[in-house]
Amino acid sequence: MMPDHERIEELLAGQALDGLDAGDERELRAAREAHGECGECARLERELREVAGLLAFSLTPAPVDRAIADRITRGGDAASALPDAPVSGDELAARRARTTRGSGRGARRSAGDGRRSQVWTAIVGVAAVAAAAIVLTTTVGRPPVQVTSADVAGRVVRFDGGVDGSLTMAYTPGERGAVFWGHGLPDPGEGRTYEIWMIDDGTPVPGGCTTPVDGRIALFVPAEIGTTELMAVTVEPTECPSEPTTDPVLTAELEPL
Amino acid sequence: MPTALLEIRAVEILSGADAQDQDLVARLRASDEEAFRTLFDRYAPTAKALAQRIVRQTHLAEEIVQEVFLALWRSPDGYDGTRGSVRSWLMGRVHHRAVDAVRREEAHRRRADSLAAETRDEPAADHADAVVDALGAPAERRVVRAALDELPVEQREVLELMYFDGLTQTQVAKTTGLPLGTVKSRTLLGMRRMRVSLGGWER
Repeated sequence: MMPDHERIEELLAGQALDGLDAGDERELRAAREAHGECGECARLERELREVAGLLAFSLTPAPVDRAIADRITRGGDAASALPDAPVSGDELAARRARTTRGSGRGARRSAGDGRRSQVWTAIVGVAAVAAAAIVLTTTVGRPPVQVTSADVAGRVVRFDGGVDGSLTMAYTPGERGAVFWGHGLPDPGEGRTYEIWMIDDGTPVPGGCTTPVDGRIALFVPAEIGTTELMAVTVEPTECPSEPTTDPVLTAELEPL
Repeated sequence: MPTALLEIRAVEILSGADAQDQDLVARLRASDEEAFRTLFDRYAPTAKALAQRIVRQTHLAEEIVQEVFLALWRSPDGYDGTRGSVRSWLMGRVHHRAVDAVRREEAHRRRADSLAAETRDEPAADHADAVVDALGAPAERRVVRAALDELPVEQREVLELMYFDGLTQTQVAKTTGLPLGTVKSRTLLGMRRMRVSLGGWER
């Protein structure tokens, strides 16, 4: 290898990791221009970028809402494909007009407005018991109502996954008990139920089973979350097994204590 | 796993997936939805994990993943097969956008101080393989983790701070207290070693 390729390789390694400072970026550009059609440079760049891209695979994958893929392939624009993106009333109306299948979350929101107020009322009641800090405003059919609880030591975590609906957990680190509430969840099927797991040191510890009624769940689990860093939900037989038999449909990462 | 065996296994796993992905992208050019969904299912969970690791916000991470896959769906010709694998190209785009987002928000310094100590061993740590293996590319994950584990810790630390925390080499030097030249040389040595482990490319 020529000596100047050593320096180019060093710069390309930093560039592949998006870690070059501006001065080094300029130096690399100048070196590449000076080399012209340099096959060795191109090979080094390709191989280092390949390595950098592969580093991502050392991470534990995160559940992704598959509805994003549906909306992309059906021509949804970038904003409408986002779950939970803040949506103005005008934008919501515009999306409703664009959406024909009702599969977008925005469409689900509008269709479920009546139900939402009841669900949120239940959420607020449960969350207050868990002493989580929740501020909620609803404007469906009545003046805005704001409910606040003051204990900021509590944490509220939302689950992500490939199923419709929403599942949220409230807990206070170091204290016993966690509250789960959900809405819009699909029926797990006959003879099946949702089971909650706390992943401790790589081992799933059962946290209880629950079956939604009209898509809604409200559950108190009298366990200490303690060192748990990941929560998962699977669909299991109603016998509620002590070890998971299926892959998770929802997961939530917890901040360490 | 012995290094030689790891290299052979890595080449088998990675090149097998490459060929399938190239075929999927070719089908994508004909707007094949099934091909798109296969790529999405295979790589979106890792892409989201990467974005989330860097930006530390679930919603923003999902936005980045969506942007990258939307671009793939709309412009599959944006991928040039002569410049590397589909998966590395996708992860490169996700990484670039995530790092851009972090640097744009100038939240970088605040995050770096609090995260430097707590996150260095996270990529190799695995708290839930038993339940998350089904989420995207488990074979690749094992191979890459094994390769990272083979790195000397001082090289791995530098790579992880740059890649997973989005630090520039100068910022890595400040965070670790190392001379900038040492950071650069460790970056190069670490990347060379990973290249041999993952690609079987002899230097």
